[in-house]
Amino acid sequence: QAIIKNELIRQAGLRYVPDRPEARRFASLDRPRIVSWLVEVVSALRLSDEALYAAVSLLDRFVAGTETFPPEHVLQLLALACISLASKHEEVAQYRADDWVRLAVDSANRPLYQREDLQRMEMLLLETVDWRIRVPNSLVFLRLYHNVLLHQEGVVPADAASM
Amino acid sequence: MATAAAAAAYPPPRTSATDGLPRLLNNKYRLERRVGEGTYGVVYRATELASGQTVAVKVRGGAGRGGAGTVGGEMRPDDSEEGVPSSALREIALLLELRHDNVVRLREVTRDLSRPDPAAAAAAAAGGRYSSGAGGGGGGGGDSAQLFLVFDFVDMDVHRLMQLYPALGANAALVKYLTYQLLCGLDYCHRRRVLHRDLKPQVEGGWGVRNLLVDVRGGGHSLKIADFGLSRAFGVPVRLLSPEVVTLWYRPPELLLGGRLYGSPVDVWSAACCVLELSNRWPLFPGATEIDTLLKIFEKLGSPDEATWPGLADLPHWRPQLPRYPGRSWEEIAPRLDPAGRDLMRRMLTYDPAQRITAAAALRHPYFADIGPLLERPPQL
Repeated sequence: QAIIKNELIRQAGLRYVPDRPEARRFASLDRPRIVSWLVEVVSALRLSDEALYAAVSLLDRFVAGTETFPPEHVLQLLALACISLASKHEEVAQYRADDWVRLAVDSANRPLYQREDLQRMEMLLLETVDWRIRVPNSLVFLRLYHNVLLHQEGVVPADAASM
Repeated sequence: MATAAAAAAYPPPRTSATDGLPRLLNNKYRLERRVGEGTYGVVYRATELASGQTVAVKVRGGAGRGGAGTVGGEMRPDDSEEGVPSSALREIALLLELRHDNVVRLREVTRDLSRPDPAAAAAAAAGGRYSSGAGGGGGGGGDSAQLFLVFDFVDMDVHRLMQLYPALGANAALVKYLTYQLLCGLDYCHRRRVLHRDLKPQVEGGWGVRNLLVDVRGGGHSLKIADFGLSRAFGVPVRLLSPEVVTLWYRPPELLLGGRLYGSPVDVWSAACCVLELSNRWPLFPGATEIDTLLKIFEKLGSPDEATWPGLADLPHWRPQLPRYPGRSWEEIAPRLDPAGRDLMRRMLTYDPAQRITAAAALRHPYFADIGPLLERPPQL
């Protein structure tokens, strides 16, 4: 209840995909590219679905909260920062910054970005989303509904389900 | 009065009070002295210049103790090369969502803005918000990676309170009052699906980051849970998590036995250990090693078996040949608590996490039947 109210207030502050040409370009071209790349990364590194959804949520909120849309050459850096932060938050085993940077290479197999670039992007991302990484996303609800279906009596209290 | 005594009993500040950090942080806070140090950072007392309020500033990453700890056997790349450490990320993300009287409040997260990293400055000068990918000068890392977490300052903690007032455990009303607040804070965290994973009144070596704070201002003993450095969000249902959490003495048996699927009952166990330490004025299970702690638990509570704890045999470190103890009576374990208090402790220290009482249910326990008057008029020392 309080959580939902909080979320509504925050949502109202987000002008998600405002009606601008670059916004439409991002939504129709860049976002699908980034998301499918994230899906590939997550399955290749065997990361959890939670990390994937958190990364996409970070991506969306960053784009919604930023004035200037990320230019073409930083899109992949943005994607890297999203998945790196999401995995720092969600995963037990951690990849190092160098591992992430190695995922983005040009046609000659040279890395596109340096470790420092990733760090700066992470910071910019965090400050843009006000450090809010734990945001409920569709997967959270999916898991919750699934859990409810498994336990026909009704909503399983968090404590009972965490055994 | 308690405050003055506390200041006198406190260790003297070190010679270099702020260890090379700026005394002024972003022209907003004046760092005064180091007051604690934990696995994940150093804490300073500071003043917010605009309001004159005292705050606690926790420094994470960079020049402070990086804390490249090995948790759960895996290397935690928590050094500054890795950018924002995952522990800081979790702590901040969680704390910003928590707002409760019994949870310490995080006011702000900031960096030292007076030392911008050179590469970012260059990029800004070039007119872009984004630095170009290739090159860009390798200035990062270093000081810009330091994070400053600004908290409300609370000058007392449970451990120090116990040292200053040896008779604290005999003050049944105060013990009950503190226990109630601890469970309130815990219930709030659990409702928001946050596990603390490191509840303890102890500090290591006197400079530890204090964990259960007590605000003595205004005569009330308002307890605040702090140091969420090991805390973790948990899903419903939970996924596999790292078993190497919670300081040894306060670690519940399911973790000592290597369980990896755990949840909020972990904190309830630790909370009971804290309460009994407060009441007995002695740690409940002061084990030197994991097995030692486990045997101390068995010795007091009696050894568990498959009947009292279904699923026990599946835990990785469980061995049937572990010594069998009958356990002691609750009058012996908790001599200063009343029968209702003992019953609550028995439920909080139940072996099977599935049967262990939840924080929410504990608040409704008969032990707290007379909590109303105590909340209106906080008990005094």
